Amino acid sequence: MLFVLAAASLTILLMGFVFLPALRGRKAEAVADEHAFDLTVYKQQLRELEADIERGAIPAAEADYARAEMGRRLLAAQDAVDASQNAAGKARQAGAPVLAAAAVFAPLATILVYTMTGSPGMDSQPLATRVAEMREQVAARDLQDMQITELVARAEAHLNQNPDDGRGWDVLAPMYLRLGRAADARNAFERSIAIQGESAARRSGLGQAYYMLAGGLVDANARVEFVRALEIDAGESRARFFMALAAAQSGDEAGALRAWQALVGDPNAAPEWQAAAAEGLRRFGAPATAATPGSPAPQLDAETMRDAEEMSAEDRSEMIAGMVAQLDAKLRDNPDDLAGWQRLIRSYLVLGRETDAREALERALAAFAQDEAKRDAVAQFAATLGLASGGEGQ
Amino acid sequence: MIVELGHYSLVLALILAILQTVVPFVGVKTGDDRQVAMAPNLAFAVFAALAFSFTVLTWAYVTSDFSLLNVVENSHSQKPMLYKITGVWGNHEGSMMLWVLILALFGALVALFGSNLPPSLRAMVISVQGLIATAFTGFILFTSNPFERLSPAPFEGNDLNPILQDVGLAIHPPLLYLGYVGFSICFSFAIAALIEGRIDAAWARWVRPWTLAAWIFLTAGIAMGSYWAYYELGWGGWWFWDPVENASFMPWLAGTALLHSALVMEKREALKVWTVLLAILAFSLSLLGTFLVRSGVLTSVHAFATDPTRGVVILGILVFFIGGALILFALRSSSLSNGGMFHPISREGGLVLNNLVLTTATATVFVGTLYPLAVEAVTGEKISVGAPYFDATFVPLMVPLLLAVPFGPLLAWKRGDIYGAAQRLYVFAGIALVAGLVTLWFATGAPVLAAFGIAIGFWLLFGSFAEVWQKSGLPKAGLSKAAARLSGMPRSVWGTAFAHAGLGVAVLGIVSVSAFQQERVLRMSPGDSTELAGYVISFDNVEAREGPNFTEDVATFVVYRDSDPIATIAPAKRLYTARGMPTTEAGIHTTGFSQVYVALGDPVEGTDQIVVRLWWKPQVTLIWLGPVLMMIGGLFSLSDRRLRIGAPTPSAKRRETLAAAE
Amino acid sequence: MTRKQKRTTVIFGALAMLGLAVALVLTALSDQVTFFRTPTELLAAPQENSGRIRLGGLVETGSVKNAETSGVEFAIEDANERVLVRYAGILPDLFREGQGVIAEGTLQTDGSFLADTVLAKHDETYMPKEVADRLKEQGYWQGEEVSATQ
Repeated sequence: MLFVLAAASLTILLMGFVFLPALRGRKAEAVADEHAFDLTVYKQQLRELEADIERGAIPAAEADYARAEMGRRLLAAQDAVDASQNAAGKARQAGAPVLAAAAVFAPLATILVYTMTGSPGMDSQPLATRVAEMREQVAARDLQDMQITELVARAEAHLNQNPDDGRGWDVLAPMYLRLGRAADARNAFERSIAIQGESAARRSGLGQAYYMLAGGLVDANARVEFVRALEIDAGESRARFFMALAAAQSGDEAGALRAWQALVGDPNAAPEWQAAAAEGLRRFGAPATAATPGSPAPQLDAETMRDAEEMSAEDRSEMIAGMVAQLDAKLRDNPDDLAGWQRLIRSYLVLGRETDAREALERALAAFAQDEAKRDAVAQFAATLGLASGGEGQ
Repeated sequence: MIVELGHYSLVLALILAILQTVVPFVGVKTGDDRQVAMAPNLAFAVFAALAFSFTVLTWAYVTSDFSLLNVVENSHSQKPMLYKITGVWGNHEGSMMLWVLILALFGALVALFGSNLPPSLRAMVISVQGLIATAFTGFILFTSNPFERLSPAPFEGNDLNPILQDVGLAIHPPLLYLGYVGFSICFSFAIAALIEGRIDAAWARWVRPWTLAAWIFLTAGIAMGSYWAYYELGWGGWWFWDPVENASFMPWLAGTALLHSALVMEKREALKVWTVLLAILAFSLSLLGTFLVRSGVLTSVHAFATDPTRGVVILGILVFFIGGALILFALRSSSLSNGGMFHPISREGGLVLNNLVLTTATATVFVGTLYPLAVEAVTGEKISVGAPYFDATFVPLMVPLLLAVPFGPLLAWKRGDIYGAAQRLYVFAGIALVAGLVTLWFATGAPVLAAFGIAIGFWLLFGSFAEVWQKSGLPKAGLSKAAARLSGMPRSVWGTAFAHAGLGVAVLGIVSVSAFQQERVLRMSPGDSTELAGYVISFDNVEAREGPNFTEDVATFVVYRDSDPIATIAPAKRLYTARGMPTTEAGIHTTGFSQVYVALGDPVEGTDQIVVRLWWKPQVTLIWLGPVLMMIGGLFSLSDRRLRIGAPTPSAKRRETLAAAE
Repeated sequence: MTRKQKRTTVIFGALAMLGLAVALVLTALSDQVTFFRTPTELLAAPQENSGRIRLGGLVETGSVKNAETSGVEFAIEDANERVLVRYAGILPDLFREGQGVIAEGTLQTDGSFLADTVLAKHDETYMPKEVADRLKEQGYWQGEEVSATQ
C-alpha cells in the first residue's frame, strides 16, 4: 500500500511538473521571435569583430570584408524577424487533444509496463536488515522455547497432582515434541490415549515421537502409529507427511514425491505440514540441494522450514553442520543419551562424513560400556544403517 | 519498497521519454506554444526519474541487497565501499543505466542553458534527445533490467571482476560516457536543424560549446582509460589499438574534426553540410562504440559483459539512428545554401585540411577495427588487425597534419599568407630542428624516425604559441604593453594554443617511450639487483599481506642512483578470494616525467626466484599530460565569453502584437 | 583563382588524401593482418603460415616449464596436434594448464612457435572467441582471456 502511494505521488509529482507550462497557458511565455535569436548572435559577432579590429588583431582590408559579410547576415536576419512579425499573432492552441492523450497515456503505460517487468509486492532486503532479522528470529525462538519450558514445568506439576487429566496430557505432549523430549512425548501421548481413547492426532503425534526416538527414521513403531492415524482420519496431515517420508527412506522416492505433492495441493491440510512437504519436495526434486532422506530436524515446525527455505544450499549445509557439531559437543558432556547418539551417527552419515560416524559409534559403545541394552541398541541401529558391516554410508 | 520504487521510476522515465519525443515535436509542427514550452520540463522530469532510479540502484549496491540479481552477480558484502558504488557501472546493466542517465543529464542541461536558443530549435533538440533516451531506456528495461529480483535472496554475491576493482573504474567510464553521450547533443542539434531546414552561422555558434564540453570529457576519459590500462593490467603498454579503445577513439577524432569545422561555419557560414554530417558521424561512432562493447562481437579484454541477443537489439537501435539520420541528411542537405568562399590557403583551408586528415584517419581506424568482423562474416576466416596495421596507416596520415598545425592559427580568414606565416614560424622550426639533432647526438644509435618525431613534438609545443607570441608584440612592444595585450586577448586564442601544445607534449611522450624505453625480463631472488637505464634496482623481499577482499604477495624493490636509495617500489600479485582470480599490481616510481615500472610474474618452481619484468619508461607521463593540456585548452575556449550568448528580449513591437492577440 | 578553381583545389586535395589513405590501408591489410590458426591448421601448411600468426588452443597439461634463460616453454594443443611455444615475457595472470590460450608470433623453421604475446583467459565467463569456436568445431574445449604483451 505504501508502495502504491509512493509510486502514485512520484507519478503525480513528475507529471504535474511536466504539464505545468501547459496549464499555466502562454501568458507568461511572451517568447521572442525565432529569428530574433539569430539577430542576437550576429550582433554579438559584430561587436567581437569590432573589438578585434580595435586591438589590431585583424588587418584593415580583412576587417572590411568581415564587416560586410557580417552586415549581410544581420540584415537577412532582421528581414526574417520583420516578416514573421507581420505573420505573428494568431492564437495557437491546436494541441489540446495531444496534451489530453499524453496525460492519460503516461500513467497508464507506466503502470502497464511496470506490472510487466516489476515485482510490486517485493520488499527491499538490505543485507544488514536481513542479518538482524535472522538474529531476532533465533532470539524469538529461544524465548518461545523458554516460555514453553516454563509452561511444561507448570503442566508437569499439575499432572503430578492430577495424573488422570487427559486434556492435560494432550496439551503437554506436543510441547515435549517441540522441545525435542521424544521419550517424554511418547509417554505423554500414550497416557493421553489410555485416558481419552485414540484420535488421529494423538496417534500421529505418538508416531512422531517414535520417529524422533529413532533418530529421524520412520521405524516400524512409528509406522504402526501413522497407519493407525490414517485409518481414523485419512486426511491427517502429519501422518501423511511421515508416511511419505517413510516411503522416501525406504527408497520409493517417486511415491514420496507424489504423496507430498498431494499434501501441498490439499486445501484442507495443515499449513505447517504443507510447508514441511514443500521442503521435502525441494530436497528430493532438486538433487543439488538434497541433503538426503530423513534429514528434517526433529522439530519440524514451520519457522525452521521457512528459515531453511530462505537459505542458499551452502548456508543450509553450514547450518546443518553447525547443529551436528552442537549435538556432538552435547554428547561429550552428557553421553548417556541413546537417542542423541543415534541421531548423531545418522547425521554424520547423512552429511557423508563416514569416519566421523564410525568414531561416534565407537564413542557411543564406550559410553554404554556398562549398559548392555543400550549398547546393543546402538550397535543394532548402526547395523541397520550399514555402518557396522563397513558398507556404504547410506 | 525502495528498490521497486526505483524500478517504477525507471519505467516512468521510459514513458516520460516517449512524451519528451512526441510532445515537443508535435508542438513545433502544429505551432502549439504550450507543447513547445513543455519541452524543458520534460527533459528535467526524465532526468529526475532516471537519477532517482540510478540512486536506488546504487543504494541497493551499498546495502548489499542481494534480492537484486544484478547486485548478486556483481557485488559482495565484503567489498570496500568505494567499489560497491563503482561496481554499479562495472557491469552491463549498470553501465547502460549510467549511459542513459548521462544522456538525460545532457537533455536537462540543454533545457537549463538553452534560453539563448530559439524555442522551437530547443524543443526539437530535446525531442530528438528524447527519442534516443526512449530507445536506450527501453533497451535497459526489456533486455538488461538491473532491477530484476531474486527470491529467495542469497546471502552473498559473486563479487566484481577484480580487474575492475580500481579507482580507475570510478572515474574512467563516467568520463568516457560524458564524452560519448555528450555528442548526442550535437547529433540532436543536427537532426533538429535538418528537420527545421534552417542551418546557419548562429546554429554553429550554439552547437559549439556542447561539442567542446563533450570533447573535453572524452579526452579526459580516453587519457584516463589509457593510464588505467597502463598501471592496472601490468603489461606496461598505454595503448593497444584494442577494438574497444578504437571505439572511443573514433568519436574523439570525429569530434575533434567537428570542433574545427563548426568554427568555420560560425565565422564564415561555410562547410555547413559537412559540419552537419560530422555532427551525425561523431555520435554515430559513439553508438557504434556502445554496440561494439556491449554486444561482445569483438574479442577484447574489455568485453566484461557479453550477450548476443542484446547485441542484436543494440544493432537495431544503431541502424535506426545512424540510418535514419543519414537518410534525413541525404533528403535535406541539398536545401542548405552554400556559404562564404575562401582560398585554399587560408584559415578555412587549414581547417579543411584538419578535417580531411582527421576523417580519413577515423576511416582507417574504422576499417582496421571492423575488417576482422567483415572477413569473418564473409569468408569465415578468423583474423586480427593489431598495432602494426595502425602504425602503418594512422601514423603516416597524421604526420602532415601535425606539421601543419602551427600554421593554422596564423593564417587569415578567406585568404591567407603562407609565406608570412612561415616567416613568423621559422624560429620555432629552428628550435624543433635543434631538438631533433640533439636527440640524434645524445641517444646514440637512435633511429632517425625517433629524432624526426621529437622534432615534430617540439615544433608543435612551441609553434602553438606563435599566435600568442605574435599578438603580444614581443619583443618590440615591451613587457607592460605585451602583458596588457595578452590579458586582452580572447580566451579562445589561449585555448587553441594550449590544446595544440598539448598535442605536441603527447607526441613527445609517445615518441620517447616508443623509441627509448628499456625493458628487462629476468628471474630474481630476494637480494638480487639489476641495472636499468642508469639505476640499480634491488629486490629486497616478498611479504604476504591481507587486503579487505584479497590476499597479496607484495615484493619490495629499492631503486638506487649512484648507490643512494631514491625510491621503493612495491609491485604485488593479488588473489581475489571471492572469485579466486589473481591480478597483477604494477609498481611504479616516477622521476621527472619518466617512470620505472615493475611487474611481477610467477615464482619459479623449486627456487625462491620470481620472474620480474622491469621497464624504464622515459617521459612516459607526457603521454597523459598532453591530453591534460588539451583539456585545459578546451576549458579556456569554453570559458570564453564569446560562447555565451544572451537570449534576445522580445522587441517592443512584438510585445504589442502579442498583447493585441490576447 | 575563380570560385570553380578554388573548389576544384579542395576536391583534388580531398581525393589525394583519400587515395593515400586507401593505399596505406590496402598495403597494411595485406601485410599486417594476423591469421588465427589452431595447431592442426598450422602444421598442415607451415609454408603458408610463415607470417604473423595467432595460435590458439589449450595449454597442454604438464608442458609448462621454464626455459634455461628467462623465458618459458609450453605446448598448445588441439584435438590432433601440439605445437611447442617459446615465450620470453611474463605469462598472464590467468594462464593455466588445460585452459584456452592464444599465442601471437611466428612459426620457426624447427617447428616451434616463437610468441611475443600470450593471451589467456580473462575471467570465468570469457574465453577467446576464436578458440572457443574452433575447439567446439573439433568437439574439444573448455576455458576462456587476459592478455600480456611484451
